[in-house]
Amino acid sequence: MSGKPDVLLEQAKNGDVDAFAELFENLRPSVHAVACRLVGTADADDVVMDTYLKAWKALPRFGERASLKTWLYRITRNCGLDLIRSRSRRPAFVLQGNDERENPLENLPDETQRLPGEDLERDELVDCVKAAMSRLPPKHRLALQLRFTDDLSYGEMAAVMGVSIGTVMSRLFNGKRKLRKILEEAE
Amino acid sequence: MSRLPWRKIETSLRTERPESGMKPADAFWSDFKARARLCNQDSPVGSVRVPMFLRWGLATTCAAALLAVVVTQGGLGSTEGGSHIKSLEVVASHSAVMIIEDEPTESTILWIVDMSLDRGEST
Repeated sequence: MSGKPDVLLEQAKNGDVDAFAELFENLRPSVHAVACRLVGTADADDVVMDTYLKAWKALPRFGERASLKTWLYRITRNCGLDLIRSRSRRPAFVLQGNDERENPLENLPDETQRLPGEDLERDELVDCVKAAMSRLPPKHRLALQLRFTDDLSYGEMAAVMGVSIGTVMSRLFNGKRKLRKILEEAE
Repeated sequence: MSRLPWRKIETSLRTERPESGMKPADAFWSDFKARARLCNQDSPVGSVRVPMFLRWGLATTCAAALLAVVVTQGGLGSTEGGSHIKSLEVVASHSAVMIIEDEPTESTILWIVDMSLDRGEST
């Protein structure tokens, strides 16, 4: 089955679970990525499942005032927060696989071997950026990840972060400034 | 100190995507369908939700009106020469109570300001 989104949406609203699956499957990687940002990879699948079940339940009331994706991100945020609350722990706003003990910023080549920032090897820069990201305040890190890694729009970011678009822009601006400062200090 | 171009940083950020580890589609959707069967979809027209501030505004107004009626009917110790309140207790938290003597109607109006509830909503 491969239908038009608006047809699939109507069918899903009327209880067609196959239409729902077809409509929402292509959004699943994005929702999963956002869930990873909020709760970490270990719990992301649970959050995605909760999100989709809530979306399924509430879909008949979806008014199309927001885009389906933004609406889904808002549910993802709520499910992520529910999970965090239920397990009494802080959100895992950490870069996956980033080991603080092996901070690449602390292992930069010495001055005699160091190349200017613009000539850093790509892999080295990636490591440095990853390490610098881990030193950012969580709200700024999340803003940068959602925008530049996950390619969310400002509106989608606002839904995930639970703030206004103005706040999203402000956090992006400050996040970029702080990230650059950390990187330049590390050079 | 050289200034690192943002474009390069942004390119690095794009490679930061965490390893997916996402459940395969077949497994996810079979699990989802099994659970969705147990969960009824909402009605297309949701129940009408009255905003909290309106609900409590209405409740406060009703409470004030009820108290006013009680006072004018002599429930709180009115006398023939006018209303006379001997004691009054407002259980919910509030910022002030105004007692208004309304001479034309020979009544006393109690106005409870900012009465709030346990969750902090106020009117």
